[in-house]
Amino acid sequence: MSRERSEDAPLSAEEIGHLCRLARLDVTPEERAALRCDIGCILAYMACLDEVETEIAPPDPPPPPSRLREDEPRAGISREDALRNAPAHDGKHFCVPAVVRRPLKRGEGT
Amino acid sequence: MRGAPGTVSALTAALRNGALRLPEVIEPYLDRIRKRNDELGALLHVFDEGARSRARELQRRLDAGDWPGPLTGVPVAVKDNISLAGHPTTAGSRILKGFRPVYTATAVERLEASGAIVIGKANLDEFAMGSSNEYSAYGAARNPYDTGRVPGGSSGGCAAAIAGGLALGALGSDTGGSVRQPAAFCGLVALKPQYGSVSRYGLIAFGSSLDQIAPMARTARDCAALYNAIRGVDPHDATSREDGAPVDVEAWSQPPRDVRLGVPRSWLAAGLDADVRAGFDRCCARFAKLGARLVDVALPDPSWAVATYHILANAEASTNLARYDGVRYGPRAAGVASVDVLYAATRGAGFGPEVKRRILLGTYVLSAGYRAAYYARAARARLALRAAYAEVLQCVDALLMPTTPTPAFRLGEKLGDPLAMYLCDVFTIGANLTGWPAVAFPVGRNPAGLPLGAQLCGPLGGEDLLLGLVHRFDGGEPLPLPEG
Amino acid sequence: MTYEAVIGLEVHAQLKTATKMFCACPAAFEAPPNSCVCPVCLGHPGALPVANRRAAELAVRLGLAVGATVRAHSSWARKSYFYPDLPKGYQITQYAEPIVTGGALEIETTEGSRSIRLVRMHLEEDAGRSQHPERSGERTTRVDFNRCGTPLLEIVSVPDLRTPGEARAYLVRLKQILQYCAVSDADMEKGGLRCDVNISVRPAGEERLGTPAELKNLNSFRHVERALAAEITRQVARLRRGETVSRETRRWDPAGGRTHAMRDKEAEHDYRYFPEPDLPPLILDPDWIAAIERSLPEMPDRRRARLVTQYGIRPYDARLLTATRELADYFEAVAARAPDAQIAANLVGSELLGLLHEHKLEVTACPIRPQALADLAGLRAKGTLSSKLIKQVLAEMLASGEAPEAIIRSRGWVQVEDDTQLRAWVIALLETHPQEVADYRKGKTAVLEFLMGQLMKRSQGRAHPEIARALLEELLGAKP
Repeated sequence: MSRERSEDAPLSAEEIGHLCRLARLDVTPEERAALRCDIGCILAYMACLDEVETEIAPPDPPPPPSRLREDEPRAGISREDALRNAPAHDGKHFCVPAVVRRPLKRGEGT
Repeated sequence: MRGAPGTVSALTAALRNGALRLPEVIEPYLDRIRKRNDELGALLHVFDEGARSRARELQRRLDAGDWPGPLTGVPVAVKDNISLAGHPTTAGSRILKGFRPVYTATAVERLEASGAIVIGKANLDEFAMGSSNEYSAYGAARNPYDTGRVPGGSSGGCAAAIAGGLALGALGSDTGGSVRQPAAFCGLVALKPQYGSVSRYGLIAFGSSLDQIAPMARTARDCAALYNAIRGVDPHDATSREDGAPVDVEAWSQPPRDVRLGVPRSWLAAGLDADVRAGFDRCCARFAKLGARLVDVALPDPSWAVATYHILANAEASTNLARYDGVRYGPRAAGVASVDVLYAATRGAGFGPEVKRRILLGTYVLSAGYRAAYYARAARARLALRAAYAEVLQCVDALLMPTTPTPAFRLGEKLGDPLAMYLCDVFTIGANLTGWPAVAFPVGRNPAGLPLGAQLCGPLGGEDLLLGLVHRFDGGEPLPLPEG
Repeated sequence: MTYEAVIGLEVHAQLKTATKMFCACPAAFEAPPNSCVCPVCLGHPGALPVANRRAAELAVRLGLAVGATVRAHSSWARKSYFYPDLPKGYQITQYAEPIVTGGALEIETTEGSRSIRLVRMHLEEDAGRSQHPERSGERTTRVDFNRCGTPLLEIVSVPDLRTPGEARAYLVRLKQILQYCAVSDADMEKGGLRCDVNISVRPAGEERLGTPAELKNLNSFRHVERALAAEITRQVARLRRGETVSRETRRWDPAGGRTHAMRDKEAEHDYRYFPEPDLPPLILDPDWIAAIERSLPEMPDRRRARLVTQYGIRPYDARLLTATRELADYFEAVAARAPDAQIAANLVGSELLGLLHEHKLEVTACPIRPQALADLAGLRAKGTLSSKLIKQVLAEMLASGEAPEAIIRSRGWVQVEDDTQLRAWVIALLETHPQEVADYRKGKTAVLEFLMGQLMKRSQGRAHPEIARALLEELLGAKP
């Protein structure tokens, strides 16, 4: 691994925070501490791949042409079925809280 | 249960010759579910009325001289990460609480078309991530041989259901050993088919390049019957494969002369439980007596496979689980004003700690700056591993090894140590990374009465060979069920 | 110091398939919301994608049409980001191994034709449509997944373009070829062709590229051109002030006529690409690729040249008539039946197109059969119809569907060459316009045109123009 990790150097709190944002995942402060430790530890274990000689793999033989789907339409599911499991809908659409766009500050964009 | 057939083959034979009628067959199972399911935590949803009406319908067809299929009347549990239209399908997660799929998995459709009766949906580790069934959001399942111990995971509910006498067979799923490890802990036969042999359509994805729906039963013959029902190419799954003839274990009634079984000797050294080792040695001796030749082979250190597996499986999982966002299905976090807050709150409340760990790990190994060091490297290691396994198969017909390093462990024993939990799969992961078929089967019990297991693995297209060998080994006789 | 712009385009074209990219749902954009959906395109748990053969075929077609390399082995990838209209939390696209690489488009510029190189083309699935609240009080975004999963071809150019006009010419050209090959309807107004732009500026003569900005929300050719002009002005102004340009995504604001930096979450991403495990690599049979190549229609450039040599029509008309494949097909059907191809070209390229445009009709919906138009061309060639009559007959043909001869006969629209009749019309005309006659005789010969117009009107367009003009001049020249 280019970035060495060991059990005494787990992920930083910032890194965990960044990952949680990327994965859209709220974690409690206690969870965060445990995750930092666990993931750091698992990453350290993964360093064993450093010793693996990975250049030896011969190329697989070329696979046969793909099985593709013919372009023939079939009815999917009804709108009623589509919306059946939705936590919020208006009978036609799935509804979510508005996607917020941060308003531009004055002077931005010039 | 007294006198009821204990195997699929015995049950279907009795139904076919009219010695038994279906409603009588199904009631004892429903009875047992009522008595034991709370304790075992095996099934999350029980379809008693559905099973009864299906049994009546099948019996009507039998009375009319019709034979619906080779699984007629067989009570089967289906792991709760496999879609069944109109029925709850939770994947063991809070994030799918109340979700009812609008379609049925191809494997379940085929199972039902063969006459099986789906009796309930089985407990599992959340999203099949775990080796003890303790990571289920709906409570742990327990091992019928010792309810203080885990049944294994992630298909722990399936294993507990069969070993507890609640079903005769089950469809689990196997991403890194998830049917084989529970089979070892609960004295069952489980086949992880070659990648692509069974359609994944309707299987809630964990690691898509590793996942297979996998049959579990008490004997190789029963396992083959379940496998034959669900196997084959599916237009809904681009990774499903054309395959040849169905598995025929009866064709293997002759001793397997000249079959060479490779034993990765170095894997049997440190960390292997003495009882597991003794069971494995007995298994080797028996195969030798049956005419197989046992050959020592060298395979790469299994820690590679564990590291490679956890990088690849969790990378895939981190994206497979991105769809659980509270927009189209599943519960949604209340009182949030923006969609980004909604996502994080819904997912934060819906996923359990192990799933969160894996999502973050998977996100990490794919993220900018780390992808090359982790994901890309593991992808290469997987190819190298595949090459190493293929090389070994130049000299042997299949690999023989223990299924797990230990017998069933106590509840809670490994909960505090994720890495120790991951190492439960150290012997099973290879088959998922290579795509090879593998069968776990019981090889007796330890002095405490816990089942012990071994595993045959490979080659590609080898389901028939593997199940045939296990059939020779078990002679159609299951491990006796525990008292209870 | 003068500055030069360096522009590259990323165009998303909606492919002309009956079904979606990875499921069999109809690719129907105008259907009621959430009526063309299934577990696959809704991202339900356990559902799996299966690639559409036709979508791959269309990508191959376009690749071959622009002289690119079609790769027999390409692969799929997941591109992860969260958005309500992206159900799986990732988009299936092609990343490391696209289906098509290379190729070029010839564009027409004021300085002649230029070749714009292409980097690659890749297949991917579209997202659904989010309806954001329009009023500030409303707090709900509504999502429709009908469009979700429909196939797109992303076409990425090399930054070979230098001016907004060239960018427009590139888009015009790309649209033409997409339509020629029946790969895409390429209707920008309906979202069938979407364009993102990378633009940087540098001092003229400088080799090194400047820092590019990406422009989004460009939904017409005109907006592309205007947004680029505005952005070039902005970037040059910054450099002139000694400031730097930052690498960022900017949204075009058509009303304000300027671009704005996007600072919201959409702009910052770590897409975490990796190979899509649900789809095996896309392996194409070389025989299939060869069959697609054989089925390719003639490309506009080649067809233009052929029309000139085969029919002897003017290059200008050939270009006009090859604008779309349908128009060129129609012209050739007429020309094959008409005695004079140039007359056929005039009729189709100018009279007919103008008329269709007036009636807001596409050439494919033109009710006039090529044979009827060829007959009209024949009448024109014989000189029996004036250009004014031609227009009238054509309008009648469009309205009534009758054959030209029938129209001419029933309306009495045959051109009048008879000297007695023409002379009577001219004499009567001059008697009612003494002032103009006097003016003409004083040397204001320009009134001749006015009088000609009056004569044609009086004759309902039937007077043979040349003979009538000669008569008019003769009688005007004569002393009263």
